[in-house]
Amino acid sequence: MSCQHFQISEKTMILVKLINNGCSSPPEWAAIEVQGELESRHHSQLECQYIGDLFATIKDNAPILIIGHHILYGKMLTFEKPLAVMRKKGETEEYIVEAIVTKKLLFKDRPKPIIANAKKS
Amino acid sequence: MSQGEFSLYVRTSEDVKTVIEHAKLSENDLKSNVQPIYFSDSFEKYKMLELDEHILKDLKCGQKVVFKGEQNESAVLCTENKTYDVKEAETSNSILLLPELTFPNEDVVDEQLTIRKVVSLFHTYYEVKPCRPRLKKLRNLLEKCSYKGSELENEVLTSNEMYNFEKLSALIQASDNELKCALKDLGAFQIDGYWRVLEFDYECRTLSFLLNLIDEQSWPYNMFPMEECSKILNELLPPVIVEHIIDKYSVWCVSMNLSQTHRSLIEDKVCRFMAVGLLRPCDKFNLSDFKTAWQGSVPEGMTTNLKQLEGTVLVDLSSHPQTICYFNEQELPDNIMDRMQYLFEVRGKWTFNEIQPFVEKLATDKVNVNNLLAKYARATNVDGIRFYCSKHSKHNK
Repeated sequence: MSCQHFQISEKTMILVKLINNGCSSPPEWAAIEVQGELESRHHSQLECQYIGDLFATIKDNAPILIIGHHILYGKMLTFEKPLAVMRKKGETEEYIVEAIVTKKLLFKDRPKPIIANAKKS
Repeated sequence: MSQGEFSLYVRTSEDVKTVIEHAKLSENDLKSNVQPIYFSDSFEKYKMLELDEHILKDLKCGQKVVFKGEQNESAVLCTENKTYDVKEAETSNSILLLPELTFPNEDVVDEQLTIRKVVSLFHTYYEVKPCRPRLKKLRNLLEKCSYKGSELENEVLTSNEMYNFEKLSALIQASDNELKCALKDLGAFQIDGYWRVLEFDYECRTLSFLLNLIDEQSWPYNMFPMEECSKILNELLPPVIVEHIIDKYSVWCVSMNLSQTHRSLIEDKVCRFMAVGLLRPCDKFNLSDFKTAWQGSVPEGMTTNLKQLEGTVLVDLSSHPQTICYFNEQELPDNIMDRMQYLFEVRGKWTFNEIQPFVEKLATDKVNVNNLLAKYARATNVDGIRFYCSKHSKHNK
């Protein structure tokens, strides 16, 4: 993990506002965190692509994600500090918080191949 | 969400069954609801910002939350009350954002397949960490347009940028409440809506008017009649200045029958100002000569004490003769590393009591002066006395 100072371009001030959706707070979204990068076959664009299936075990409510020929075992975590999902509003000096993320499914281990002699993808 | 939107590939329950078999999982161990995950047809450019409970609460209450920073400054996030350092953190993991998802501990509907869409993918987010407001710039801005007297006011107004609160709030990396406190600490006041400080020499003159008047009239310094005092001073100075100087250097008397008519000079403030007046023009002052001159300069009845000068002077007890010089905390760098470096350049080693007044303002609820010194200085013991010196040996003396 690396860190760098953040600079806001040109303007000296950018307001952060919650989305006005008629509710007192923005909707809650979810996050799925996986190790490394997600790439599609042949490096085609990711939009609209199917990624994988998400299961949950009955016994201990653990998430299992199967992507292609890989299986990922994960766990559910609550962010220590929730994340605001912000979008810059046009050319204005405003960020709109469209959603808040407080929980994630973390798949931190390296994916395991599921079939010994899987076809190369 | 209909599956029809996904023209490329449609997941069926047969496919899911096959996958479960291949993965050597048992359908009986899994919840019936399966969520095939797709990328959405377009990705949004979102920025992710960490929130703590205070920021979140302020946002929900509709209070002002704002990023602040000019191009040469690293940005901070300010709420009404707090300032946060903002850094972009990068992770090697990929984080997918899904507006809708059933978490494993949530039991839902009998639906077998529920398609979920990933609307964005990110590797970086903004981390926030509470920090001290950065206030050195405030002093610099206000000193450039300081009030020097009515005869010079036109020149100041035409040749300088003037600052109302809004403008200061946009330029100073501090929350509005921290900014208000800082203005008070600086002894700033408003003329026609603009925030001003008095130029030092001019402040010396105006305060002398007040002190001389109290002396001439033989009023006790801790009980002088407000109305009569301002009436006389208003003939010598603009009323806004009279009001400011009385406001800054005195308070209403506590005694019930005088609490609306008589004021009392604030001993510590007057003594400190007189000391600065003596010390500022020279490099160093012989400590015992200074003490005599200082006591002689303050109104009768007041007692000077070096404690009144914490954060304003440096006393050198190791030199012969002992000396004192002007050294103002408010003029030191805001950044802790720069400040420590500067402090150790000025003096090789400090005792805790000596350095504390110059570091105190950078401490936070979580990080106190001791923590700061442990992190940014090196402690040594000389003859049983603990000293702090620079971590980098070249500065050690």
